[in-house]
Amino acid sequence: MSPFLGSFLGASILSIVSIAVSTRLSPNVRLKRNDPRRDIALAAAILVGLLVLFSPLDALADRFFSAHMVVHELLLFTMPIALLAARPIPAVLMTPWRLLPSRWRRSIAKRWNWTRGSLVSFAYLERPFPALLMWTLVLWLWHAPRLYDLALRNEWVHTTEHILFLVTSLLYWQPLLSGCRRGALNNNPQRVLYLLAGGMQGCLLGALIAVDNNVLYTDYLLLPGLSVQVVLADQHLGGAIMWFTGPIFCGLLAAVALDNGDIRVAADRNEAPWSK
Amino acid sequence: MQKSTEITRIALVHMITGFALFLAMGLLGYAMRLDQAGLWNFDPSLFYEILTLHGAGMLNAALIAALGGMIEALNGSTPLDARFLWTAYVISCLAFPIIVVATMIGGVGAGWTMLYPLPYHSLGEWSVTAALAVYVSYFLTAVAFLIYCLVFLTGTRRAAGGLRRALALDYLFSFGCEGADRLPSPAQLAATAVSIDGIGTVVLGCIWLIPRFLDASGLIGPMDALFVKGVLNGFGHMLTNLTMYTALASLFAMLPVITGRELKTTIPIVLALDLVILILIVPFGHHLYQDFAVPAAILMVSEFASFASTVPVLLVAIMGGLILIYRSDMRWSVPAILVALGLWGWAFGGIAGLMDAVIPINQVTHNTLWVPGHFHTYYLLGVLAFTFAHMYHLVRERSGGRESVISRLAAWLYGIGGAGFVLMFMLSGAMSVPRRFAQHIPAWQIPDQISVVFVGLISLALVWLGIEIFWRLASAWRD
Repeated sequence: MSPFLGSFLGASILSIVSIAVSTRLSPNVRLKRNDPRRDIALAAAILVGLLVLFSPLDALADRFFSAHMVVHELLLFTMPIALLAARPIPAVLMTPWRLLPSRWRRSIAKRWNWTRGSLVSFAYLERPFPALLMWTLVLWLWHAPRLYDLALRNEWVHTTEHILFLVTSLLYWQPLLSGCRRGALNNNPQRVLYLLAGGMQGCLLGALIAVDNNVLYTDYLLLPGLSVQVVLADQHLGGAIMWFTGPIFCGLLAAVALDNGDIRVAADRNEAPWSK
Repeated sequence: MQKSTEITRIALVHMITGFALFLAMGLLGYAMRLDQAGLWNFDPSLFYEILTLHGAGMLNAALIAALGGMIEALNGSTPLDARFLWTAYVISCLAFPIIVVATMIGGVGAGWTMLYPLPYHSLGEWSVTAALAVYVSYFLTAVAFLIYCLVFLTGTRRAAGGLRRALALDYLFSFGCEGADRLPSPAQLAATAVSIDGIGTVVLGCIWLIPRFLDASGLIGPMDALFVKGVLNGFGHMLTNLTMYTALASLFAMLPVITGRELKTTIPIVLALDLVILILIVPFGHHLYQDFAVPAAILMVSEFASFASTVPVLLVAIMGGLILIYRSDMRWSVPAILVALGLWGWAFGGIAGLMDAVIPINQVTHNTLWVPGHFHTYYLLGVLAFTFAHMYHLVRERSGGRESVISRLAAWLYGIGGAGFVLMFMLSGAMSVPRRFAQHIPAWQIPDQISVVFVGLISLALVWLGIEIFWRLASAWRD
């Protein structure tokens, strides 16, 4: 099995795991603190991180656009979903904070004016429309040829790109999977529109890359052993990965993130007129 | 069991989406007819891209609209899982932009059937990725359809207390002596039959699509062209026919509304809808009459099965509908006009299809404009007429508004425009004008030019009805 195929299979399995553990999540349900699925989700998120940073996929991503797109898809879909299912962030952030003496905490909070008022701007970014807008902007901007080539040349820019992908993806998926928080989407039609908008923009970007017959990211041509034909075929494959995985993920996530609505109650209330 | 507001909203969203997609795809169809009529000439490559998008998109539009009708028809009698209905809707909708980009930007112009050696051997017209995208779009549509079928089947089974009861088999085989007290409604019967065949159709789709994906990736060699054509026609034929039987649910929902009479489940209805499960599978072979390598026995069976497939339509839709309408003091409201047009369209389109299924006639009409004449009648004046009637009624009932004289005129205009449009197709077919030709010679263009006028009438009617529905949508959405 080639390293690419192995990494791709690994990524697919992890994606399925992350969605599977989220299947009981809905806008009104949160996993309890001791739910084992949170541990599974956290393990999946860590494995995705290892896959992105230390597996053959990482080496391949420097050389092939298609492998790089697999990394992007993991950062845009699998990892944020797993992280939102696991919810380790509050625990990770709050534990060292709570270890500090209360006097220090008060002092730090006062100094940084860490009050509800100063968090307004961040809370605004958690709302669905700004989150969607940011996710879209970040995704499209970083796939602009100049910025993408810059990220290929400079590792720091590359890291910034991936961090931005992850952060904006967390923000995007949060209104769908965030339980009863402020800014969560309130009903199924809203959630469906949100999923459609998110899925379609990624789909369109992937499509534009996949059907372009010019090499968009010319830095790949500077790598030894890669001809124009290979780079172009690789670009088409990468575009296709981006094109097709978005709808598949959004479809799967729809099954996860949508609420059963009032039919569940109606169905339990009554079977059928003639079955009484 | 009470009607669920959320399910009604899901149905509305489906029907409105189907209507909007139909309008967009209809405009593309108008452009193609203008090109063939010599009134607006554009590049043949663009024509074939539009042809591909129009075919695949219209199928998607009709399916989504018809499924919306079925969802509403089952609402209140069958438990349906809203989450999975929304999920299937999301997947269906995401399939659509893929095909738009693949055709209009990627340049795929292989027609929605994409027969061998297309779409992977395009002589540089489009890339393999773009062709693959069309297949992915079909795959997503098939997955979405599978989810709908599973939701319907689970619901009808649960409502009736088992599959046997959901199909009213006890009632049928005892000639009405047993099980008469717990009969499913006609809409539930149709949903069960469509779901069972739908699951088989998706399996058939996977048999077609998955090897095509493997072929594109280079993991397997090229497939047998005739096998691909057979499976594709099986899948395509089943999907289009199931769309029509899905639209039956809208007819069943509308007949009691417009006639004021109850539509009861009777032995002919049970027989016809149960027969659909078997009858729908066999006749796809009538698409293979020109393939000499197909054994003659299969072609003959397909011919007889094609005749048999008219029985359910005749028994349930046309006879059942007309019996209910006869002396019912029906008022000619917009839904009533559209239902009457739908019944006519099914009868007329069915006869045209039946003629085309006769082997000696098919030798003349195959791949002529007769064939689009047949399926446009079935869709435009059948599936979509029933579904639009249902949608119009639902929006009007929920918004509480009254229909105007102009709306009724628009409904008649839809019928006149539709009838003229499909008749011109059939006239061209009778003149042996080939289908899927971007450029028509002047001798073929007279029916094309006449049909342009009729398409204009359809457009006018739909724009008026569309504006009216859009205007009332906000109040129809509220509880």
